[in-house]
Amino acid sequence: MKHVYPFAALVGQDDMKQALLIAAIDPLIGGVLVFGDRGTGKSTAVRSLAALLPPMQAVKSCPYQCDPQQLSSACPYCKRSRKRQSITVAVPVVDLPLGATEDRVLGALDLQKALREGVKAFEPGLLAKAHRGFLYVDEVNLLEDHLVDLLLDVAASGENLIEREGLSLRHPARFVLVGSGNPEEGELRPQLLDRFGLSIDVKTPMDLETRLEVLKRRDAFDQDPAAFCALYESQQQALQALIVKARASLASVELPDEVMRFIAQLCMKLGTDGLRGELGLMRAARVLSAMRERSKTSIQEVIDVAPSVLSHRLRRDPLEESASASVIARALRDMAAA
Amino acid sequence: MSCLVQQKFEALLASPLSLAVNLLLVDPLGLGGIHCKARVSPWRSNWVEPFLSLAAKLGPVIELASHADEQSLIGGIDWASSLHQGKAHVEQGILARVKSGLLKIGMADRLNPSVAALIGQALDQRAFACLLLDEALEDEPGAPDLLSCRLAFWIGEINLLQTKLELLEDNDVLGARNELNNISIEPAAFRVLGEAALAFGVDDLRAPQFALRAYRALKALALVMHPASKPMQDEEALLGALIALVYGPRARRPPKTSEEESALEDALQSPQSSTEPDLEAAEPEGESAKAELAKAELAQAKDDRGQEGPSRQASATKENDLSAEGDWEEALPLSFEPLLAMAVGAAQALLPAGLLASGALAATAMARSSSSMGRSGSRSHAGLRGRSLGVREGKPGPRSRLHVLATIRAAVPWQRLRAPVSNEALLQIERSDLRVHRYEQRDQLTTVFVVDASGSAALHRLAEVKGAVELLLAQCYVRRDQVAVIAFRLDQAQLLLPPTRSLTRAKRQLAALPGGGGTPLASALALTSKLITNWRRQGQRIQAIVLSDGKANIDIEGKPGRAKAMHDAQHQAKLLAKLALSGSRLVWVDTAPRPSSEAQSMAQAMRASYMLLPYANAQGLVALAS
Repeated sequence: MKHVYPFAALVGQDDMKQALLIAAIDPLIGGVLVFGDRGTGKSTAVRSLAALLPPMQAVKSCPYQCDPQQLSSACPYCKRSRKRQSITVAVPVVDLPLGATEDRVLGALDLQKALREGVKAFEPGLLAKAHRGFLYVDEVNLLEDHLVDLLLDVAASGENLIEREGLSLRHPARFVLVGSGNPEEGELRPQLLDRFGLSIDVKTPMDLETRLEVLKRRDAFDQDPAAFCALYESQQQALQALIVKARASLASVELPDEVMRFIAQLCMKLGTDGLRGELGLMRAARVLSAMRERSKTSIQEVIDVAPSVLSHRLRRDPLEESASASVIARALRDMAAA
Repeated sequence: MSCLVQQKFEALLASPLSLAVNLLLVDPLGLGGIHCKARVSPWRSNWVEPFLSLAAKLGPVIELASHADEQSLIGGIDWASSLHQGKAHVEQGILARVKSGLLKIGMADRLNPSVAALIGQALDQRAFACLLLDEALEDEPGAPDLLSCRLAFWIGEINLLQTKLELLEDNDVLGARNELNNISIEPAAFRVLGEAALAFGVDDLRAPQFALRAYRALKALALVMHPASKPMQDEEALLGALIALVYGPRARRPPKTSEEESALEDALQSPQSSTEPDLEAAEPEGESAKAELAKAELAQAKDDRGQEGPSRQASATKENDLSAEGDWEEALPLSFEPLLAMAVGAAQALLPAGLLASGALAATAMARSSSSMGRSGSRSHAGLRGRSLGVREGKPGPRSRLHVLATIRAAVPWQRLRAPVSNEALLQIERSDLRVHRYEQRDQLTTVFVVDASGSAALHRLAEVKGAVELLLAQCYVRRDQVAVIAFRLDQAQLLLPPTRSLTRAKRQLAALPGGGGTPLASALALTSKLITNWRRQGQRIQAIVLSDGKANIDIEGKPGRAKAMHDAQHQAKLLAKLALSGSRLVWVDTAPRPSSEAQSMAQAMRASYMLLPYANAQGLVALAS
């Protein structure tokens, strides 16, 4: 088996790691957008998720790896088959290449079967593969707009509806969309931005010690992947345990009224469009509280997640110089003072 | 024998090209590859061909056509043979076939961005190495950034002219590959490479990783070529060569760090004559044998390339540093500070003279970053070429191409219903099954602002243009239009903002605009027509908006003199008129307080529409552009 760079061994980039963990605990958060310079470990972080996440139970030979405990009504395979065996599989992390065609993403008519057996069968695409896992799109800002629309649509509804080539079916496709890119190469439309749950700006670390640490760990990994992974095994285990625990306690985390009020006031102050900002903040703050093993969400958690939930939802004035993060920080300061 | 090997190794260190090529052969997967920015020339073939023939002995070498599509990379079902044989026949894609080998990409500047992205993803998996031959001219966007940042070595035309290629034997390469895993790297080297990256302004964290791997490969090579117990070269010479090789082309500024750097700079000022006799010493001797060796090596490098100044000075620097530090070689394992100074000094010596000082690198870096996407050719033949947008039903003809796969796919479900005509035909295709390619007909408009930044009104005007650029970009989300800015002042014109649609980038680059000085209108117009021609060749539609009062006073050579300046400007304006006639819209915005005859005649000469806008404001300019 090929070793993947362990998530726990990533140096720095705490915001990104936190956002990915939040999305791993609560997939309903609605996708993570990571924007930043090249060579900041975006791809490494996302690809390392597969090894970190606790393995899941799936229906054997179901092309959509459905959960045996909670069968999806939309799954065409599980609806038909009577006997269901369950197996343990790793959480899928699917890489979507930029050049992917609609056929590959959505799935298409299985030509081989059609030609040889004369059957009209569906060949699942990448969306099916990513069900219950992560779909990673590098350079999301260079992806064709209609494909991004489609991805977000499916991610939001949790189902992939296919009406093409004489096929008509639906299958479950619930995944966390992770997009990354470099804003200097083109920006995402605001409509699309708004539909990502969390957005992170990553920067190249400019401090020598951090950079050296990155260099050393990467080198150690390249020299002997197995030994390096073993070194971080216990930390990986601890993170995995944290995820499992947070998932279990998530439903019981309380959201007091004053925290809700704070959330609403913050969004009003910043003038975010729609209600997605508020909903996102509530959800993310709750997950963070679960991660911190709190039974009640406090204002501190809201403050900690606010930049990543809101920074891409601010109405941007093109002539405004200051970065969104500092606008949010200022609003938070003002509210603390009031 | 050993002397010969030693010479060969030193020649290797002295030539960036040879060093890059051989290191890549030793660790192809870890180093990613070479990005060679040079046009087709005997010099280029002089190294590419022997390199490829050696690489072919060590693994598969596959050439990628610049028009390759995603399908050919990923592979898939080969329909022709599948239909023929009556069973599915899967064809391997290029990415699978090149496994652990070398992918040669010619005309990489023309690479389709989605293809580049696929290759980039595969490079991340360390599946193969890449030779990127980029033929873009200086001011053209080159190979996609997302590819070149994944390759360790960037080689420019200048490296090709300097030296001849030293290639190792395949046995040596294989031997070094075997040693790779046994090489240990001293902690000081980590620090040197890490700090040097910061000193040269190389932010991308991939660069130090590449340098480190290159260092390991180089040490393996040294070990194989000279298996004796004594290390053949000093660490700092090796590190210096690698810093020059990997960071040099990526550098955004000449190195500047801590106090030993300033000492280094001081030393650079010092007269070189005093150290000269020492330098010529052929054989190292005396108490600082190591330093002597490094010096001799550097002198060798200098002699090899016939480059006098910088290497000699840097060697002098080393000596000064050494005497200041005292007997550092006693403190093995290597102490860090002098090592860094020496490595950076050596790197500086190896870099082409004047390259760092002139800011040429920063300029290429700028041109590079504008090349975020390899733009494919002119889109005037829309309908037949361009980026694929999928398929639609329709008859193939001169304006549309048949999409074989989609056609078959459309026909397949109906086969049962269609009675077979003969036993030969596996597939019955009817007219309604025909599918044709749909290509993107992106008609992209680039608005170029040519701004007169001379005189007192400059600052205000620049600010307004900046505002207009940002407003335009803010509106361009959907239209995907681009904006560029050319400014002219003092004695030259400058491309301040290469065509971009990124607000972030525009803001960053327009933040500090200088103003004041003379009016080199002729140079500005010359640059404008050159750039417009280039951009049009890349398939963009261009409109240019010139903001000036038309009173030129610097001629095309950069010398003052009103009469000659006006004459030159008129001449350039007439050249621009050709572009106006062939479809680029030109607008002249007269910024003088009242209509100036110069501006009017200039606008007439270049067939631009003339506007009087003494208080050109951002909103007005945006209205003009859209």
